[in-house]
Amino acid sequence: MIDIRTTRGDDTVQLDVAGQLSFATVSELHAALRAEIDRTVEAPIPRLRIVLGEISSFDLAGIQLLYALCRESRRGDASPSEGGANRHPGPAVDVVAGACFDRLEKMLRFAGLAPIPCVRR
Amino acid sequence: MKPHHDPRDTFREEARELLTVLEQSLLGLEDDPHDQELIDAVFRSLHTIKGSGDMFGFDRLVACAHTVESVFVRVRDGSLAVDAELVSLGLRAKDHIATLLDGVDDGTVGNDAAVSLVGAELDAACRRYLPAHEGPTSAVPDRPGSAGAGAPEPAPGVMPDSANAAPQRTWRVLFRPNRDLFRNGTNPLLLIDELSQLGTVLTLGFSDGIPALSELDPEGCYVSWELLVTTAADENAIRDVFIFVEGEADITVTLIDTVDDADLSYKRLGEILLERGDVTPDALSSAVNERSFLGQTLIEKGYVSGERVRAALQEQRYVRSLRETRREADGDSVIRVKTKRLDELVNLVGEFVSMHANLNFLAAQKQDQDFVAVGEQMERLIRGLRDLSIELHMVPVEILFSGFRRLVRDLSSELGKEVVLRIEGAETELDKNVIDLLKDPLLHIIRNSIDHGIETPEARARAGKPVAGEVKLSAGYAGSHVVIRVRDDGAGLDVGRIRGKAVAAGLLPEDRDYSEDEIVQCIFAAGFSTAETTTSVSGRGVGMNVVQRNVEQLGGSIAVKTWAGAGSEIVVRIPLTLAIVDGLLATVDRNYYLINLSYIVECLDLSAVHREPGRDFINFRGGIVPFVDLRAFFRLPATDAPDRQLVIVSVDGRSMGLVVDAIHDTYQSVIKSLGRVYEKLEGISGAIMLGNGTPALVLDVDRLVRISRKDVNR
Repeated sequence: MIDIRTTRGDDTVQLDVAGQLSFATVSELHAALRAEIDRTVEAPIPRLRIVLGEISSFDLAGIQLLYALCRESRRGDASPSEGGANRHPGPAVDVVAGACFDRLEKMLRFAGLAPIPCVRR
Repeated sequence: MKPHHDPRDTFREEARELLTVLEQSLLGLEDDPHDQELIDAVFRSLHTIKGSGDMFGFDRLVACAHTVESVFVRVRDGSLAVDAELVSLGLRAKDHIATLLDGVDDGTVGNDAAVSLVGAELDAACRRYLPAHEGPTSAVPDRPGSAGAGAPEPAPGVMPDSANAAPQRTWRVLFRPNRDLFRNGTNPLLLIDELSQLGTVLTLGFSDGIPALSELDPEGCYVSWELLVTTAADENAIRDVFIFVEGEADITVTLIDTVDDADLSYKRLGEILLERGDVTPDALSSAVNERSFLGQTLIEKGYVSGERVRAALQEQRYVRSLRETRREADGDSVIRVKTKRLDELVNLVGEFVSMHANLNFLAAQKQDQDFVAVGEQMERLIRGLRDLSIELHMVPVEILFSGFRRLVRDLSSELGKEVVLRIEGAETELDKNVIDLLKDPLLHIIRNSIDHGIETPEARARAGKPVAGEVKLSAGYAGSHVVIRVRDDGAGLDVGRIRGKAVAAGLLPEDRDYSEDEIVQCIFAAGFSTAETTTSVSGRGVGMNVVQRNVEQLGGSIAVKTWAGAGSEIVVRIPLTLAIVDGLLATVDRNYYLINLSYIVECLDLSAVHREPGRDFINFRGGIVPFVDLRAFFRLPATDAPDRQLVIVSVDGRSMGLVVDAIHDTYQSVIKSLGRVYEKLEGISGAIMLGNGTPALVLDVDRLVRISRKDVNR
């Protein structure tokens, strides 16, 4: 249903995602993403790249995950945290939609939702 | 007491317009048999005529429309192709319906037998296009609601009356799903799609409820929507869309716009945010007190997300746009007014203009500054009233031009020629009265072009031309005039032959040389014809003379150009309106003359203009321009007054000077006809009455320029 391949570089961790990005699979990707972000606490990296070019279909649950991912990226940039202590600056998140960019845009337009900030073609 | 109005007259007027559309669409189909829009237009015209005719008891008209419509049902569903024969059948049916419309059918006109015969022939011809088992089962279609087998489907784009009955309203639907919506297997996008079946939907989605990844329940639903639905459906129909998710979402339906809402301003941003529950009253009032942009303040203070503010602004724009469109549509709504009533309005406005001139004259004479001030204030209003009354009279020449398509089709067929009519500038507007009076002259000109101008297909092939000839009918503005051109690509006028006939008829003295232009103008002489034989179409030598007279009676002019082997062109120049003229008032020997402002190029002091003694020409802007002393032209005593004026006028790029004693103010007035006694008075096209009751003659500048150019050529 969903295939996640992780490649670790010096300054970027890249997740190539293939298959469905839908309600049925979104928990799996969510878990994988959380794991990567948690890992950056131990071994900080500047960039987390998600490549969606091989995604065959997606639904609103999948789209929500992308919004949440972008929010995580922004949250990571924010410091100091609410508690006053410096929060670890998480990686900048970069989502490359590739071939599915147009379908993603079309769905967002239909749902009347704004473009997802960290997603690019 | 208001005059009795027969609703059948309204039906007749509307049906005539539909018949015009029907004819144009059928002729269009001849050029492009697959044009679906034209097929639909044919269908719609017949369907509407049939439906309305049925209401007023025009049974045989309805039967005819129904039969032909049945044929076009087959065209529309692709089981029958349009060809020339079918177009001819449609045109014959249109003619028959027009006859029935004119009174035979409701018993107000006699001669029923001949009409019945045509109807029977048409019916038989239509049945040949229909399968034996299908056919129009009942001549008069079923009444609405009975859905009989023979009744055709409503035309595409034509909504059943019941669907049009309810007015469009706009609802705000706030759709806030619970967290479990996805888990229960509901796809909210399908609900939005279903909602859009009811009407127009503006979808505004909110993602501001989606948390960061670490706090996200990936299977939970965090998105919510504001859906603006413009529909004729009621609240229950909207709620029915969400009936299966009632327990899984918070759904609020609010009516936000109806056809009765005329206030363009709609609600303020704060009101919308408050209504939707996006901000609390306290937050709103604290932001309002900031005296800054409300939306920006609310976002900056964290009271509301940017997308909520943007959505509220979008709602504002959407509803305002709806109301503006409605207001424009209300402004563009149409009522029918008889042309005669409009004529009366224009005449009254004309009289009003004259009275105003009189008021100005008296005010100036009495040197009463209060009166002068009132007169000046009135002038602006009167100009507006005058322009509006003239505008009401203006209609596109398309209504005139499109009628010639049928003429060209039928005439070319009768004469065994192939002729294509090309129309340009059909949107040009002219006074309705002028258009009515132009029909016959243009009819003559086009008939002549096809009969005499366009060659037979064989002759055209021999000359290396396309087998199909072309008649181009065009219109365009030229100052306060409209220029209509009828150009054909035929053989052109036979100048030698015209000269021979003109000399033989004594129109041109034999012992002189003539320019081609002088020779071809002979076609406008009474009784002139070069045709050896008289046909049903032309050759009696009365056409072009009558055409010229009709055009000149409209205050216009006509000219002809020709190119040997390449065709000829008739140019008709017509004033935009017959009603009111703006002119410059001049005096010649104490008589007043009005020169139409649209012709005037410049006014010069005659004494400052260099003239060769004994020559009636001057150098003006690098060209030779003839001039005429109006005292001499109207056989008035000569004068050597020092301060005379030279008014330079121009028509179609041809200029001339008019010498007058003095020029006064500009003046606008209704032109009065001079009557038959003065009909042949050269150089005068009408008269006006000045404010002090003195008459002034309106100069026929067009004619004066033509006369002067003739002298130049000699």
